[in-house]
Amino acid sequence: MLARRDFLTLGALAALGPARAAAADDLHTIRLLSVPTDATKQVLYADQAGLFRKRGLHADIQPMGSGAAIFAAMLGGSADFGGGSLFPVFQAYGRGLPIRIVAPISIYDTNFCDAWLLVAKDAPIHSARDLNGKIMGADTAIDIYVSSARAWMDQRGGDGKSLRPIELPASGQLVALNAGRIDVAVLRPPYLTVAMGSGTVRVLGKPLDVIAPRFLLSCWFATTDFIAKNPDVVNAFVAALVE
Amino acid sequence: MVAAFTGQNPAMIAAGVRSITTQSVTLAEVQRALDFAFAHGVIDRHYDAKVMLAASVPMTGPR
Repeated sequence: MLARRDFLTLGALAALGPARAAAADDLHTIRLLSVPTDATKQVLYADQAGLFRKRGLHADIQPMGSGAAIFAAMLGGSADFGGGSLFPVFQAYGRGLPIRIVAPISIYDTNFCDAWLLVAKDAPIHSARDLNGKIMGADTAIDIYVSSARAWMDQRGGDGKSLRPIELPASGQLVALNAGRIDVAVLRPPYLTVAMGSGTVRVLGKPLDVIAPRFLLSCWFATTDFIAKNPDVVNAFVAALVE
Repeated sequence: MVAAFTGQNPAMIAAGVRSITTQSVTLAEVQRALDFAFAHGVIDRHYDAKVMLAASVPMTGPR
């Protein structure tokens, strides 16, 4: 589902595409869309450190609210690279969309957990069983956090299928949790940091541990057509990210 | 940078938990997530993670 702000961004991208390309003078403009999380520091750093410019690229980086909006933009030709969670990429590939992973962004490591299952500080929820039938805020109804929270509940005597996800952007989940509109959420930086600093939430567990102690969490992706037609651009983009 | 991009407080972000970015990945780190996605109905068919990786992906270990 596309949020209103994503429609506005897509409209702006479509309208400004040629002008943006011309504005970069001798540089080749690459159009990047990313879900706005802490992991964007990777590409923002590369941009501010001049690592794209060094390779003849000008990076136009725009935030998008969801993977669905990013796929729509890429398939419509309004973006070259998309960055976001791995599960929407799996789903898109499974539906036959012509996309491939071009570079990793972030990993999950249980020893440096950055995705916590949170409830309101005073909520009567202290175990997996207490989450039965509760409402969870999530980017999408079948994202990695919903799936892992359900599995986490199942492993601890709860009924994961009874968890009821509703779609909320990550930026709105803490407010919804504090207002009692949702019962639980998995927050990641920077929203996790804001939530922990608020003093209004309590940690219930580390749901991503049900997947593995360590795995790829988010990535950059592009269409197969773009990759085939622009191998030098793709390689330069990845080289800038990993420098 | 991140604060401006995400609309959050810079001081709060600087003092808090940060994501772990990576420069390379192992095939197993992708396959584990894919296996879970299939086992829990996120995707309806199972496949080898390497079919999703473009040649540009920096790998640690075999591709």
